[in-house]
Amino acid sequence: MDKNIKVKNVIVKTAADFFMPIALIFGLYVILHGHLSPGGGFQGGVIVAAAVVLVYLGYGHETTENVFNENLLKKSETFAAIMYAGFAFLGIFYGANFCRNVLADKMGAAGELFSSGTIFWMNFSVGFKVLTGIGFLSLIFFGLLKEKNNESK
Amino acid sequence: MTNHLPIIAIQVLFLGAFISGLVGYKSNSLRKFVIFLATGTSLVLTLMLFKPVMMEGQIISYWMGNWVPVSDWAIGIGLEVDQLSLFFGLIVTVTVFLGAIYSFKYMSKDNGQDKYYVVFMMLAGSVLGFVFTGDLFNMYVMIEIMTFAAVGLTAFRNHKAESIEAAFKYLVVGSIGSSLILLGTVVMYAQFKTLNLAQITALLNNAQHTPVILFAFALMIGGYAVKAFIVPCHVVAPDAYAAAPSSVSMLFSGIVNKAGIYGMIRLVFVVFASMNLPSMQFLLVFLGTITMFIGVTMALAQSDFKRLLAFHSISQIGYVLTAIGLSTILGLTGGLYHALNHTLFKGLLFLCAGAVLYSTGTTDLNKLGGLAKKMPQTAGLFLVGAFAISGIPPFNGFVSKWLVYQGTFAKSMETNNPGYVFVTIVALIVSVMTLASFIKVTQSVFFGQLPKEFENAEEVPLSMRIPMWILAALCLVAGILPTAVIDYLIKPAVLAIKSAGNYVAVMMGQEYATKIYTEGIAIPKYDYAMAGWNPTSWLILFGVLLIAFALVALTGGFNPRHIVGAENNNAKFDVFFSGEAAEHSHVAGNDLFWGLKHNLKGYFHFMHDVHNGVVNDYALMVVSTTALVMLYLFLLVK
Amino acid sequence: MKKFMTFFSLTVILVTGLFVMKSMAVLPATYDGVAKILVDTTIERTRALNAVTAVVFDSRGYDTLGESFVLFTAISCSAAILRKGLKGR
Repeated sequence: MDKNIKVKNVIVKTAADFFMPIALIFGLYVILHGHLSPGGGFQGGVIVAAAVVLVYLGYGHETTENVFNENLLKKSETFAAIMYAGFAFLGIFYGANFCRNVLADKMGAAGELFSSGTIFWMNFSVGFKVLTGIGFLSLIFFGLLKEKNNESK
Repeated sequence: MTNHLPIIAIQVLFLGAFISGLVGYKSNSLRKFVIFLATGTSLVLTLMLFKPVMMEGQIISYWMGNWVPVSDWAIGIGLEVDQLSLFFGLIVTVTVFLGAIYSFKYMSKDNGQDKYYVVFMMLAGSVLGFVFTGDLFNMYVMIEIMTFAAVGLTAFRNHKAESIEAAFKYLVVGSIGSSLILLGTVVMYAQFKTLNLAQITALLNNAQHTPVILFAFALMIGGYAVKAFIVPCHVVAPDAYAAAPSSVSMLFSGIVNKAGIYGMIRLVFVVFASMNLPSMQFLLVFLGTITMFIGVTMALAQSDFKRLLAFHSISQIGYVLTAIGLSTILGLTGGLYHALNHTLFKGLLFLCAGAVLYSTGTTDLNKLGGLAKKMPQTAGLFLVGAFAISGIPPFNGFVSKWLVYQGTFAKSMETNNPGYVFVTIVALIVSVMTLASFIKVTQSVFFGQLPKEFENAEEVPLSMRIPMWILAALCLVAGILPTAVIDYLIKPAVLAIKSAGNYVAVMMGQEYATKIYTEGIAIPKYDYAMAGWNPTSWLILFGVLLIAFALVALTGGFNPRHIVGAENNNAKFDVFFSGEAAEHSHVAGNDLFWGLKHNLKGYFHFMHDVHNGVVNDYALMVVSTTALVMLYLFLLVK
Repeated sequence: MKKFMTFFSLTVILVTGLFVMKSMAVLPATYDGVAKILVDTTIERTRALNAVTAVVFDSRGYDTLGESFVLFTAISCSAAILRKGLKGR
């Protein structure tokens, strides 16, 4: 099993190279246009997190471990959760209730990219949270695979 | 400002989880400070709600994002804190605060503590969010966080195989429970086109009991039975309680169980208030009675300290369910009182078990012994907890158990149904068996001979003893001041259960409520009389007995040699006087009730086969329970 | 016993489920209740064209907050369970 992964399979590597930027850009598009077109933070975040899996498929364990920092991803996820709660708390700071969309009238008209107030920002923080979280989860699972391969050797 | 308090109290716990995960990565003391601050703030905010809600009788409603109802449809999510919610909210915040303080030292031998506190705080926040919410789907979301956090905490000591196994079982069975609740929620939404609890209450008030409603109700009863560990959905509970760290076992028995009980009370008595028929009450009392009986008999057969406490926890939840199932004022009072007491004494007992584990490294009753000499404070506190759970005056267990006996008996007088007298008798027998089981634990952990390997055992640090002292003091206070506890905590909560119309009026507006409740909103009279219960005289009796024991012990009259006599100085009897090691005797010191077990071996073999540890069977038990409840509802509840 | 209980409970749930489905089968031609209000007033309430996102992040934003916490809890639990634990037993 371990040997198969280490072999530099040109087709898999090229495919990973080709699809990774597409996954990143498409995922970011889905996150940012969540309030205008189908999709949203959860869906877009998972598409972006697919990049981690693509790097793993194309380049194997060591590269994945060098490229991504587990702790940084976990911290970013926590930060994104705080960000979401912070946008929800904006309502209380503006004198309304929790989760109030206080920024709705302060941004552009309906249909523009920067519109719909906290919906846009909450969408963004959920997307950020999901992409870091699922990326982190994939990294832990790849770590487990590696341990298993080492044991079976 | 009062309106914002509940949501801030919930979010402070969640934010505490995130911030402790961010800043507490390296620094131990900073993390502890954040946790202490978050749990403390949440406790203070909940206590600030006490005066307006409990004493002035306000019900706090809070629409998320100011989405107030549009043309009588609740379009947003609402928090609704009535007296019942606040009663459970106070239980949650106090337990979490004490559990966090206890964890600081108790968890210091484990690694990965930053992860522990993150999950711990998520559990705390989710249960508080669950009891404060006024929305059916939000209840599901919070239950989901709670289940996952509980699974993660069960498996936290991942170097032990049993932790991983228990977590797997809990994950499977807990997920089935969550799915049942979700399916029930979906069916309810399809029927009523709203998710707000108050509005569903109003719509159900005049509605026919269509098959859809019965189906949803049965699914939700099954789901919350799993969350409250009611027999026969209890099978994962002992594993989870025993494998989790003790501070987490305390949370399980203190708040995770209570979340299930709260969900049941909210659904059966408030939302489905029109469904509160004699046949439904019979179902709840029946489930409660078998829960308390099976819990306590299984506890008699255990040889692990924490598994034994876990089965007692199931048994005490049976008392709570039996009492609230009666649906009378007396029964609800007893049930809520026992829910409060169960949190206090079972928390104390689990913390004592954790202290023993911390000092000796084991919870096996066959290996422990004589720890009273090494850990006098823990032994004393454990005795307080054991007295309280066995219902010995003047501790709190006596008051609530008395109310349960009286409530079941009064119910039988009211309805001319002798079955409820049988419940009273079972409750009494269970209480006796609880005492018997705790005699066994006390004898084999704290008295008897001290094994050689525990010669160096020491009393636990002060920060672990403080929560135990607080819980013991609360046990005593709830025991000697029952009228104050009932007047300030229980009575408002019981009245809140009984006045569903008020719940609707606060959330959906007075006009809406008067349209639904055309005959006016009746609030029942709150009267109860506790026959034969005078706490001061019991306290004096207890004090006199204590002094008498002390005198006898000091003058040497309690020497086993004097009593047995020199000529009868047989090693066989020594074990009963905590004299000799178990191996010299025919009767093992830690198996005082071998005779009972021998006589009932058919029953115990059957129970042993049922608790076989196969997850498939456990899943089947949950599904069968749901199916039976469904059949019962369709056939008998119209 | 186990086999009987399996078939019995599955039969009960299936039969009652079908019964319930039958009584729910007659869906109204128009939607009403909360859904109608939410869909009709999306743009003036929230200024978002995607009604689903508008519901998920605005009128039911608190639930989404909870859902994202579910994900966070699940990931934290995986990190806690799959960490390198203490040695022994």
